[in-house]
Amino acid sequence: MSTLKKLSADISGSSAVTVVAGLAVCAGLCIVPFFVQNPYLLHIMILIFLSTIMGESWNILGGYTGQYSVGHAAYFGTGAYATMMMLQFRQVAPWYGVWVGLAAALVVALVIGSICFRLRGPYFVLASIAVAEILRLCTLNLPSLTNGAEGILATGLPPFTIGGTVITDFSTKIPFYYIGLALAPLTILVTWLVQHSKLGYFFQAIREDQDAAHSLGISLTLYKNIALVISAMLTSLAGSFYAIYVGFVDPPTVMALDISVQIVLICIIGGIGTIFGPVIGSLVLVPLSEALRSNLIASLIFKTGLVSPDSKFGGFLNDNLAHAHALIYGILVVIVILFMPEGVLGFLKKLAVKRKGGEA
Amino acid sequence: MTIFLQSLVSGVLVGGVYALIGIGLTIIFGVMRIINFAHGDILMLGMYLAYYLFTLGHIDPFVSVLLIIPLMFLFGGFLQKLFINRVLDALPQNQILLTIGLGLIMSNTMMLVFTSDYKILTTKYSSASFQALTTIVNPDKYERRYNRGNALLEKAQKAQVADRANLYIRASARFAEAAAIHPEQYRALNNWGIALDGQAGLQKGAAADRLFEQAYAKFAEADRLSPDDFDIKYNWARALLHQSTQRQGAEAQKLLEEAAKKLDAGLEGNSDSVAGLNSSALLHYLLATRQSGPAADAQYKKALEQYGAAIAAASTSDDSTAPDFSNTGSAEAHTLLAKAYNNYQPPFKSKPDKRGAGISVSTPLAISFVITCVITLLLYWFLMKTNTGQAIRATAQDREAAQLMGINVKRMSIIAFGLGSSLAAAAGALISPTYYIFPQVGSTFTLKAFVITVLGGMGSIVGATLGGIIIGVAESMGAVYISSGWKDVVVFVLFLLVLLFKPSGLMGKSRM
Amino acid sequence: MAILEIKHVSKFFGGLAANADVSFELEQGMIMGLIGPNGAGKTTLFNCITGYYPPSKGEVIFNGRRMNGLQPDKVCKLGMARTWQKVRPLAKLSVLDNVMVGALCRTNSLKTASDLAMEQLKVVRMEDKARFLAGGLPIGERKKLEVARVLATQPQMLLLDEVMGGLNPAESDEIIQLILDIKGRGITQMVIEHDMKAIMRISDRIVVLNSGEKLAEGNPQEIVSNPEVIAAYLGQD
Repeated sequence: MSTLKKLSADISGSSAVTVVAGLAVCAGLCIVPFFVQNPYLLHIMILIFLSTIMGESWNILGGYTGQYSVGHAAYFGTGAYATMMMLQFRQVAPWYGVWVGLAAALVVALVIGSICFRLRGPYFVLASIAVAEILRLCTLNLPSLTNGAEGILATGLPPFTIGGTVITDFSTKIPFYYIGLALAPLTILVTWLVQHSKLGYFFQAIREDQDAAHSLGISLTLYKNIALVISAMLTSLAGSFYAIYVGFVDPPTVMALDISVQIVLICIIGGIGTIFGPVIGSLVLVPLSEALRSNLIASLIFKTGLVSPDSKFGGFLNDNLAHAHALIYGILVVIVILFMPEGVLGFLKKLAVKRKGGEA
Repeated sequence: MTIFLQSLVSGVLVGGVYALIGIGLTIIFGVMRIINFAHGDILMLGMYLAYYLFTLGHIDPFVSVLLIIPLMFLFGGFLQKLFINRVLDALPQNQILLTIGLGLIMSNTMMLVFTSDYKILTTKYSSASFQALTTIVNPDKYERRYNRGNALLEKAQKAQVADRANLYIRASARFAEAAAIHPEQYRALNNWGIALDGQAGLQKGAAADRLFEQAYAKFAEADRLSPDDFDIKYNWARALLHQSTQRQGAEAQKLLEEAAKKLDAGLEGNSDSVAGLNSSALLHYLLATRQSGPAADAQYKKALEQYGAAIAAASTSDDSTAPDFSNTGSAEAHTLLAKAYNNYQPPFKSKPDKRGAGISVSTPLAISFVITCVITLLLYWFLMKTNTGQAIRATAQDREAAQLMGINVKRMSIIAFGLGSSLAAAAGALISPTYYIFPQVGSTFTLKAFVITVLGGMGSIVGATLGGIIIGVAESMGAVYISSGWKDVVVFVLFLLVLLFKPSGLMGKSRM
Repeated sequence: MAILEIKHVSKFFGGLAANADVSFELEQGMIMGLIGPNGAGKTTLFNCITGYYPPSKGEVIFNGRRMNGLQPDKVCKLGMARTWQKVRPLAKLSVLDNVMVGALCRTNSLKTASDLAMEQLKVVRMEDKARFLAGGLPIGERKKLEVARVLATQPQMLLLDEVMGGLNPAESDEIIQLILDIKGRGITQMVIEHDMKAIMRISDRIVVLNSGEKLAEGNPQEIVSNPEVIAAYLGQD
């Protein structure tokens, strides 16, 4: 009750506007499946939700606490594998398997934290990569436990029932859409709660200056680990969601360094250490890479008439642009770091401030 | 003891190249305090340059290194001037991300241009090796038995069918004795497997099966000891084919599939073996005749591919290309292959390995090690004796002080990044004859480079040299004593231990 | 009663002694000046007392409790707070948030912390700057922010490391007044300062360090007339 009171006390002024706007957007998103049945569009929406969850989770550790983990694939993979292993090897439904994933991520996070948090700066980054790689190699090399390089294929998702009534049998994308729509705002809410609590202050103090924070009574070990645990468990949730949605996990798709880098990029491109940065990052990255993957960009280029699809270059574009999404990531990162180091959100804010200043 | 020496020697040889990669990274870190995540991708560019200079320009990779070093120096300097110099005062994480971005651009551009196919640079010496240290592995007892076994094996293969069984049994016994003396000598195991396979071919039923199983066990052990050896896989596949002729239906098909898998795995690094390609074509052809529909079509396609490659490889002229079978239908393929391989008798010729005992040293790795040493010495000379080298060292020691002393720090950064890049690319060129070349190969080496530099102490050249060799040895020891799947885990655990207990690295105090 | 006892504290780095067998006591409510030439080991002693380095030898006793081996956050919780010679504002947080971080050491409620922080900002006369980003403040205000932030942790004792360094005379006077105000609230203080006039004005007792060792201890009059101290300072220049 007291938390609720505090919450309502905190929601005031400008943040009230944000909350109302956020609720309106969520409500709007809730009714989307009644109008949009196109599975591809739903797929893109689901990916945006997933990417938002991943970005928000990393943001708590990387953006707010300043601990640049480039090893978040470890938690993503832990969630994905735990859920799939429970489903395929123990016949446990994913909505219970998720909890196993969360518990596993908690343990993994505490082990990794005890190693990596002894280090700072670039050394922390390198250690986080190394630990994630060790976890990936273990997954690869313990086939009796994880099925090794072959990965695990989900052969049948049990229908979700409440009291004997079948709620959904997961035959369409719509249930996944709603799961994503529940989880993404949940992570945003967690981030918001963190930012508006003692934790948020302590995390940001650690980010700004570890020694100063330490001298102000903040236990670095305790609060870094709290940030890591929250971040890891939410990332594991994303991993579980991904595994159930795609129905297949193997070490390269859920544990590789690429995944860790991609998670960081979502935040960097959107703007780190802000609540909506990862949302913006996802809104930029997912549609862009999907447009490339589906050759939408190539056909648009052909439509402009600049390049004929029959020409040699046109053929090249047609064949290859689909594989170019990682290249676009690279180019985006370079542009963001060089020209808008605060991310798209920070860049827009700065533009807005400039404009206001000009008018006044 | 021999196993230990063998893995030590190959570890040191690979470690030499690793050292080069590590030195490149450590120079960049020393001068700019930036961890270059694109390091492995620059190495990948070096590999591709070496590959195309070889296939298009017919320049041996060990010669083209001389071209690649200045070329990639310019490229690295260009990267520094255009990108890295702009973030020298930014947050370390932003610097890291910038280099990650640059790496992504490099690897994915290469993927767009050259596709993600694995490329193999096959030189005459790619899979060559020579024997070293033969005196210290107790040649007398071992070699006498090994040579005797080889003689018996040869005799058996030429003998009348009736005399063969006895000869094979005697050869097996000699190889068994030899293997007992030196269980790590994969050649004795390989030849033992051939002898067992020969025996099995003369038997039927359960007796034959038992012998085949024994032969497989020998090949498997030999393959574990020398995973890159084509002959072992070839002989293994041959035994599987033999057993398949004694079986029917699905069982036979399974054995053939197994044989094709082994042989094709061996061919990946030895795509120029005519006998290997022919045999592979035959296996896929046999598989095709046992199946129907798309499965058969796929097998015919693969068989034709190998057949064409065999024709190309068998041709003596330099610029021979494989005949184009891309539009050949399955029926047509069947006639073609039936004609080609009806007379392919015997389909497999066993290849006993007659080289003596000792430590096998890969020729390309040995050459690259020598070149690595020369490059490292030249680098030392440059850093210690030249003015520019001293200015670079001064910048590495204290950027601000160097600037106050009138050193053009930005220019030194450009030179340092150029140097680092050219070293990484040189390492790439040097390993191109022994590694697969593909756009994503870089990330493995980036990680290794981190491990090496942290191990040696960030910014220390001596440390990186030492770190490279330690990692090379740790990998090869891990592969032999634990398993090849776990060797990278060994490396990363070592890395974490150093980070936690001696974060300044082995040579942490002496910066450059 | 002595609130802080330093007993034979030594700190070695490799073979070098940054502090060698330093002992003194500090009475409740007093201001102690810690002076000495550059490299005398003043900041190292601060670091030993506040938990940043464990002392190599000797004991630090605060309120009767042995502090050796305690982490800095624990030290702060026990009521001993420090400032930094090179100010360390949390640059991307607002001035108020900076002080709130200190206040949250004692409370879980943001509201209480905010009120407490505003109070401290008033003490240093920066309440009008509450919404400014700490990274954008001029040096004088950064120093005052640093003091407000440690005050918000509600300490019994403050260790101030050159809070007047780099300030103009008017700003220094303001800080001197602030230190005396803090003394008026009963908080014990230990002050490292290079400005001799200021240190003589505020200190009840002074300890002089030289090459890591305690050279002299006494009230300001005793220190200025101590020939060894004069020699050490003249020898320095």
